[in-house]
Amino acid sequence: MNKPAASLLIAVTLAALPRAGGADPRLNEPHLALRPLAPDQAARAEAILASGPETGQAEAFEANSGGVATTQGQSFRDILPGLSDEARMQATLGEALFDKLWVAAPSTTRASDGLGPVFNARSCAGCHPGGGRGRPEPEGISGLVARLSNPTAAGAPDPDLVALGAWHPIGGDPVFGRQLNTRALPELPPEGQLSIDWIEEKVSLSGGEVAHLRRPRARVKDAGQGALAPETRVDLRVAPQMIGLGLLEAIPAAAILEQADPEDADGDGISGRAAVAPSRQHGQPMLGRFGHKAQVATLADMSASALFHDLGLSSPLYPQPEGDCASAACAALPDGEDAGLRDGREVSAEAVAALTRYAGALAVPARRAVDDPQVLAGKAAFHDAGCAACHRPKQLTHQLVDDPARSFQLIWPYTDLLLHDMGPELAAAAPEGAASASEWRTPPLWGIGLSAQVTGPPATYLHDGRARSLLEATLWHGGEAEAARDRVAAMAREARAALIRFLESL
Amino acid sequence: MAANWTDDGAVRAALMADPEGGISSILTGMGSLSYGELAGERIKLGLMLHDPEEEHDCFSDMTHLSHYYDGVGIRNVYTGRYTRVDGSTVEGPSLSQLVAAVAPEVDAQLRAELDASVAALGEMKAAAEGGMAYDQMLGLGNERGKALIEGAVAALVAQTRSIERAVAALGREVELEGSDSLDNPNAVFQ
Repeated sequence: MNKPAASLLIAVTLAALPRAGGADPRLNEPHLALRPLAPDQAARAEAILASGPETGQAEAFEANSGGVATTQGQSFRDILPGLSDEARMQATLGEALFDKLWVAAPSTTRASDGLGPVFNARSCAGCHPGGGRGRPEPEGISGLVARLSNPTAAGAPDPDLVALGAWHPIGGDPVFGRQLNTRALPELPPEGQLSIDWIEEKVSLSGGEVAHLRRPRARVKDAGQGALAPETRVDLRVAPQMIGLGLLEAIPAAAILEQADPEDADGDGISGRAAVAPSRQHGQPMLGRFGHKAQVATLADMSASALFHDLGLSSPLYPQPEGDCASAACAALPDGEDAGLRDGREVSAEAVAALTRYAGALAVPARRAVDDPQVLAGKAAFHDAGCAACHRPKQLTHQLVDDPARSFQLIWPYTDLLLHDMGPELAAAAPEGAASASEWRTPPLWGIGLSAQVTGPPATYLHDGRARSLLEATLWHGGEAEAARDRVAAMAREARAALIRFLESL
Repeated sequence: MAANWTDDGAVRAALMADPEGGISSILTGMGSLSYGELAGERIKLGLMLHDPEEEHDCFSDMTHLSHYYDGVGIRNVYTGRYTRVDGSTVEGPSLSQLVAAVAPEVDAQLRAELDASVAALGEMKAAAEGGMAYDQMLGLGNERGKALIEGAVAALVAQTRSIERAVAALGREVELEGSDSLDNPNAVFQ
């Protein structure tokens, strides 16, 4: 929220929000059309969530990671079966928009222009190859962005967000905005290039095994519009995988809050916090479910933010055609807005809605080798090490009106959607949303074993792509997860290999 | 391309080598072209964006012909019948006959819907030939153009449903683009 106009907009909408009896705004779910569970359904829901884990055998329904909407394919771009005609067509249109290459304005193709003037990619698919995660490439950086944070450019505190613990005295860079845009239209130099130096280190594990970790040090070079402000901090973020997002959006907020333990009342060393995030779509604070820091409430908010920050496209939720750039040079360039067309923006509300529908319509692939003895041994190791305390295997979605693919489904995302302190080794340079610098939202693990297959090898993991294997990713865990990480490092070598095999089967 | 389909052409050989797979390919092609590609990406997206450059053949202005003959082509594939440029016809055993043998009502409905799609696409073609170019048809505020385009989309979506019924009638598992197969519901928590 580096733009004064945008900050003002949010502040005004939040201030106008009625607060009935001080109810927790994280329980607000205006994005879902709910149908309450019948008593017998509620009983079955409670029973299935309380069941397990069974580690000697595959549990009932376990292979179907996405419930009825599980795809038997191994693609991250299969559309959920069982959508209504209208939803399915909307998702199909959204898919075309996801792949669309945007061009500079002015252009004869008025609906496709408005790119930039500064941007990171020309299409959504550019950063989410095959619907999978982005990664730091040796040459040219694909699906990885630098988030910029500046404590001197925070602007006025938003009292509502302060009250909810979701405001940090942080703004974007005064010139470059919230994100380093490494590409620009020909009239303008790019904001700069991202350069990563990797620092290698060795970690000894049980059984004589040695792991090699690499730590990124990000620098901005070739800054094209003056240097970054001296106080600006640089944080790396890879584009996340896209599968199952619609299912995560349908998990009851109350269930997520119930799993939180902010003060670690049970003394297990794990204290998940449910994030609050302002929703531009709904003009109110809600539970933060998406983004590495759970800083985004809904997929519509996420889609509009990505269009704006990554592609430089305005939409009704981000009405600035100059994109994430505060310089006069950006503002002076032609934009792709046309009066009376597309809600007056570069991307219409209808197009954002289609894109959002597509983002929420990607099916989760079925598990592979769910009964394999080594996979089951790895599953036992996963639970024994305590990984499941945050990477919660199963969740149940709300019962929804006219949405059978997402309604009352038992899903296996391996996340609690909560913020956890992951320690100083993984900490970002700055806080974001409700999360402190060292807090991260538990990422879902479903599909993680298919990462290399969907994007092409090599797969990388964690928020900045530093981990080159699932073992490396595990070993980076610290803070609340340090005890679990130590148990993985100390377990028998075969158990560790089985654990990785289990993760690969997800 | 013609050589690929001669008696010993590569595509014909590949399809004939695995007759079951060949029939699945035909159904997959008909369904994917009808729904995700033609109705969705090629037709409805342009209408949604109201952008003349979003028409399928924006350089040649032949979009109405592309859409119409795509519709005719889908029907040809199903009925095993093709009308040559000189007006003569070539025909042979068809997928239609195969479906009719197991589910005559599905075959009759699908044939009627394929005809309806060709008719709807034909109205679009006639309007374009009558002076309403396709890029005008999808323009903002052109209610008649919008109705023509939406009529074609609705017909293509309807025939996709019947293609899925034909797939079911033949007892096959086929994934149509944008409509992946439903998982085994017995293995899902209800």
